Amino acid sequence: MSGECHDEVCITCSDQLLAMVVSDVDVPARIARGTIDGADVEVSIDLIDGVTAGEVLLCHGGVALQRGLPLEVGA
Amino acid sequence: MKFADEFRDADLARALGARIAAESGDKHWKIMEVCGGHTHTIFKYGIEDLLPSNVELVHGPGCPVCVIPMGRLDDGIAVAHEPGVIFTCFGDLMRVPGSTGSLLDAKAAGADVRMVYSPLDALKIAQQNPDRRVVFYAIGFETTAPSTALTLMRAKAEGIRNLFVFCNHVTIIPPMKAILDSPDLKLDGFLGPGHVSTVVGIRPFEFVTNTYGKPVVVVGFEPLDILQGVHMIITQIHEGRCEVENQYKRVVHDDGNPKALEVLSRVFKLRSHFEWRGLGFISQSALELQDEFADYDAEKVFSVPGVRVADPKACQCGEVLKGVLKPWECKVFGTACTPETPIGTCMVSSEGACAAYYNFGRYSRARERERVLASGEHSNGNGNGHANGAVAEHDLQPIPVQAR
Ligand code: SF4
Ligand code: SF4
Repeated sequence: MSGECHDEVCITCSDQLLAMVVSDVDVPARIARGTIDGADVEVSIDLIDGVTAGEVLLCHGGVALQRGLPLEVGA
Repeated sequence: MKFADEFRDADLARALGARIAAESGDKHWKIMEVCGGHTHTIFKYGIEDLLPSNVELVHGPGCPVCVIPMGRLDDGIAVAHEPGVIFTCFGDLMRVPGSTGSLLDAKAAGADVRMVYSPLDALKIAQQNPDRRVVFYAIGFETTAPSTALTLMRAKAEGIRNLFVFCNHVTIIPPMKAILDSPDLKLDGFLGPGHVSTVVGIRPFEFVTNTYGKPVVVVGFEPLDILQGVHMIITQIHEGRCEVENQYKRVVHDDGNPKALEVLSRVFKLRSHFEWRGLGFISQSALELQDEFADYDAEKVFSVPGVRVADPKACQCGEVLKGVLKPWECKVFGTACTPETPIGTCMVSSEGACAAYYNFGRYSRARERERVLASGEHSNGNGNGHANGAVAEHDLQPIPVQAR
């Protein structure tokens, strides 16, 4: 596997969801920014309504698919 | 303590394994985990070693990389070689062998092949390179398809005309049905795919209980999730129930994500049929772009060879994907076929059963493997009782079959 793989599992080409803690939301651009395991990421929030900073999103392929429990990332 | 740690507690895992052992009786139970992510967890955490020997986990077809047939990959490689094309795909796909090489080989030969983490990255590349044609080679189940759909909707809304999608998205229900209809395999229950269910919900699996009388438990991806799912299936059988249950309630809603489903139906329609590696053609098992998005459809815009290519004779990915053979029962496992030199797709993606077994499982199960190979109780298809590796060179070559 490539060195970029998360936890040796395919993070984008496979069936994984990764938990992101939202740091800020750009509503007009429909984008949330945050961190996944310390790395800065940006995801589309087209499929989740009313996203706010501090919550946890479960993301796949650059898109948030579901809200996660805060505990999902150990917060 | 991290949340995940609670789901990896070794003492709790052993206790659950003991309960499963106590409640499963003497009969042999075969439970299929549909999703490649589960396969990965099972091998990584040695879950099979915690289960009694009469509870067998069968690895299903749920790795999106593993099910791409060689001919489709050859089509993608041909598009990557077209002048002026920037070809984008997820990283795993770059190493999958086509009939004459991989996308990595195409890149080495001069094609502009780039790894992306999201189709939205491909859209950005298209915006930055208006004079180039950017192709995104889309793979994945219902978890991944919404990001492709959103990307196309954005491209259309923003008037971007140099992005094209080569669509290989597949759907999970038809292959499950094909497996249930397969006479080779008798299963007693399913661990349902947690992340696909985030999008589709749990109701689409009701046909498994209603038509086939097999329990389904949608489970998460931590070791205790999987063990609890196995326990829930055994309990259902024990109590004479047959239901779709949701163990992964902390993420999966029973109705899935309705917005994602709406986006999927706006952008995609079902193909009449699609070839799955190892499973053959399955009707209505994959997605193609709606006519409204035809201008973005790489298969319509580029000319693709469309040649079906059969797997090398030695490759037994089909049997592995159907759960009929364990990875190590393939005659080239760990010899001619390794993650460094994969012959079949199941060895490429870390979620493929063969790669997962190679990376995590082969030592812990070595004794059982030796026992089975020595006794010849399981046919590995070579019919001569040879251990892995006794394969002629020509059996390692792919076989062009016919024009599609
Ligand atoms: S999962 Fe991500 S990092 Fe790993 S190979 Fe695929 S694209 Fe690359
Ligand atoms: S060992 Fe290789 S050829 Fe055999 S089933 Fe696995 S991936 Fe396919």
